[in-house]
Amino acid sequence: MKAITLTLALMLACFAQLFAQDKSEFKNAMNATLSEMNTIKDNGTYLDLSNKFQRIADAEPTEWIPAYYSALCTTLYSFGEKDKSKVDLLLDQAQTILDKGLKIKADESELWVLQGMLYQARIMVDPMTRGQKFFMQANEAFEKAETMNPENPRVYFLKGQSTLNMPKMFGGGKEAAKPLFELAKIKFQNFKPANELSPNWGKEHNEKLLAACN
Amino acid sequence: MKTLYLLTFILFAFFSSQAQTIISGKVSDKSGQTLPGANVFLKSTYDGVSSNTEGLFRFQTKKTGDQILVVSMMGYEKQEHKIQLAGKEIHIEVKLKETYNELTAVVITAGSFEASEEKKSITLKPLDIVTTASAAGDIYGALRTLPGTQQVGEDGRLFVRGGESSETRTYIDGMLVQNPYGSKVPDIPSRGRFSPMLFTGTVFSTGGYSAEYGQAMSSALILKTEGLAQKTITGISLYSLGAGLNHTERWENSSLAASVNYFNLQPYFNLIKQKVKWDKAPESKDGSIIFRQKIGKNGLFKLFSSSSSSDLKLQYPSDTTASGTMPIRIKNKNDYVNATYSAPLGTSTTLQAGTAWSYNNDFKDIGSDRLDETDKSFQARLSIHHNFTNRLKLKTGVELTSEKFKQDYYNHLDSKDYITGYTENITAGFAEAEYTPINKLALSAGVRSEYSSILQKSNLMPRLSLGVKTSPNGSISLAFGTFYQSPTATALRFTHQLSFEQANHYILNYQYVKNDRTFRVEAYYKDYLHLIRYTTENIPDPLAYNNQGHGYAKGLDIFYRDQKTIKYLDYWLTYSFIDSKRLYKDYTQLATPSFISNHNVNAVFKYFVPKLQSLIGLTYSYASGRPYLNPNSTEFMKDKTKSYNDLSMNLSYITNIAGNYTIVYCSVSNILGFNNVYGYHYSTTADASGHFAQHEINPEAKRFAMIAVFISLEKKKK
Repeated sequence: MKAITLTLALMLACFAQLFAQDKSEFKNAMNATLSEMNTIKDNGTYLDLSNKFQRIADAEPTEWIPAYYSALCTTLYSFGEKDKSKVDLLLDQAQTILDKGLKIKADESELWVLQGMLYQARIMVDPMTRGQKFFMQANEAFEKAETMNPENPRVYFLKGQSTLNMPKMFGGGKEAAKPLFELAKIKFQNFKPANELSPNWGKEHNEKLLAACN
Repeated sequence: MKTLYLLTFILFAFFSSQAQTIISGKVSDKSGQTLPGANVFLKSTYDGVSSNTEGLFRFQTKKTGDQILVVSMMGYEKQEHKIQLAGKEIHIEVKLKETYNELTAVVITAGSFEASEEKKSITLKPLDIVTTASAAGDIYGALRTLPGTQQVGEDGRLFVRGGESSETRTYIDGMLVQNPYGSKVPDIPSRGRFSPMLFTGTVFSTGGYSAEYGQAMSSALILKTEGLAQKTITGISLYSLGAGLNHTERWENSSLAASVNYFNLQPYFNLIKQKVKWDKAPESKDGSIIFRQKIGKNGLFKLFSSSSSSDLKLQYPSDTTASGTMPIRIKNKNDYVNATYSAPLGTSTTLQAGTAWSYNNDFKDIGSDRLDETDKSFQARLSIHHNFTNRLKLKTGVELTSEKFKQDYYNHLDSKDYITGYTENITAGFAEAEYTPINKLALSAGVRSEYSSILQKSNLMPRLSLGVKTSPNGSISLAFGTFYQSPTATALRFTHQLSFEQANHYILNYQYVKNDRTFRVEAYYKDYLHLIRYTTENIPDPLAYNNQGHGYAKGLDIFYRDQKTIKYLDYWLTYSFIDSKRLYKDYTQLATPSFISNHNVNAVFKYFVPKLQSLIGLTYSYASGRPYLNPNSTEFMKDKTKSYNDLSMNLSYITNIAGNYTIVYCSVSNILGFNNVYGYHYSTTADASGHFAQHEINPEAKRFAMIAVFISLEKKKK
């Protein structure tokens, strides 16, 4: 009897370990890929990282975070793509992954920030024609992100960035962008990511752009 | 007991037994080209790798047993391979198949210049139309800077590749527009009725167009209106010639826009001397309503309605009156309503339904004659687009067009009314399939058939086109098509014993697009058959009209646009060569018509100066001399005018007035003051020495200048 109890207990422990391993495997894989992302040297690596995050996203259909990073990496990669005809293809891919993330968690502020960023990237392909349409769509996405989490510093940082890039006559420029970067700065100082995997980027870049506004 | 321990041991062994398997291989496409950056991994695991620059991949996994290897890559169909992991290295060669992608698939470009805000490769956009210097805000003016068109300064309408202006038809959201231009005044160019800002997409086809479009022998201008308006906004437009007001209201699922405009050229004519003597300078009023309603998830109802009226009176040179001039007064009324509905039926089928109704009345007093012309038309259209797969698409539809024309000709000399008119009903059906077996090849085959109630005849028009991608940026397109059109009112008001006029188009096109640089060259040949001939213009004798005319047009169109080389500079250069002759109307022999210039050159420049917040536009146009009929010559249409030259300039200054986005716009035509001659008028009677006196047809004034201010008032968000 004792032996049976022991065996059952051992078996249970095995399963528990198996599940624990699963969760920690997710964390380990994410952490490893994130640290690769944080020490990135070559813009071309973003596509490889996007693939890695996508593999994790595929294996973890209930986690929005790997989908978020995969879409983010593809978007960042598209900024370095010189062939404009390929940019839309890349952004289509990023949008597909982002949509998967939004299906998992539709009210996640960070996903909507990324959605806004993706629209901003679309503008770059043809600013003259696309400027107005995608600027508005980006702002709508940022507004959603803001209602979901008014403390998300990236909302104000990215809004500031798009305001800075917009010509003065359309209401953009340094003066208009500065208060947004200042607000972002305060939010960055108070920001605590939900966990070690949660998005936590943009602080340094915000400082740089804020300095550029002075 | 022992067995239990053993069992436990085995269980442990099972959970910790982690044999390593290496999986390696190569990813390439069907043609053998290696594919770097493909995502290769075991399904539902983290194990995987991206293929390297040589398309090679290699990774280790601790997984065992039956697994699924997934290979996915942007632009290709995802593949899954069943593999069995048992510690032995697995090598696998993967060949991916391209997915259909409208961004990379070849687009058949023969004949058409597409301008839209969609993502497709594009040559011209709506904004380009407004900022083209010589266009002065007119759609047709901007299209005249594209190859294949003619400079016909005294007319203003579009003459495409040897075709008359009546052979180019305008369609809004698929519906034919019966009267796209303002009323025609002799020797004075008419403009388009509709503002270019109404349209988000423009396809200008100079030949070989889809079976969707009929009753156009030479060219189709396909305009697409906006969906839901983007935002609530009020606009004020102030012109040196008038003023306008518009307001757009946007709700969640609908939008409504209304606009009114008033123009009067009198103050301008007071300021700048005109060659023409105006008794009443052109005055016009117009209004429009645009309504949009989203229905269900993807259905959209669109309504566009416009109404306008204009009035003018001028003294036209004439040798039949003592004063040497004859008064001409033209009053015009035009109403146009266009309603369309589109909605998906299931996942791969779209239904489109539309109706259009138009009313046009020209009331003309010409010397002792009075003409009252009314043109009413109605069109209904139903079409279904079905995608069998992404690569095979079918469009089918039916169309009913009814046109009622009535002319009341009253002669003051004999105080008699002469009424002519007719009703024409055209029933049409079309089907067209587009097949893209691989992204490098696209085929389109269509057929259209029409029945005319007035001619009591039907026709059948095949349309074929093909596109092949010859390199990542280059493509070759071929198009062939037959195009029929009913005769115009000129003949139909006197006789119905006629048949359709016909044109056959053969087009070969090469296009190269890379990073905001576009080069295209197109060669074409057109056959014209069954053109209307008559003995004398306006002759009421039905027997004076027949279908025995014919003609041809052949030529070469070259277009180059560069938006890349110099920052903030966008320019395009075009050259068109055409050789065309016709035997039609009252021509006594095969001759080049008076609207043909053999050589046309356009250079359009737009330069944005960020410091001045201004866009400066410059257009230079050249057209070689055009033939004209000289009664003093024994040869028919052999004399030619001198060549045409024009340099126009415009400037758009972007600023804000009290926080409202404002554009200040000004444009001047012919800044170098070329003396352009469009042709000659001759006395109807010869002088004592048997010579017919001539005088030049010139622009109304050497230059035309305009200033406008557009202010957008937007509700400020906090």
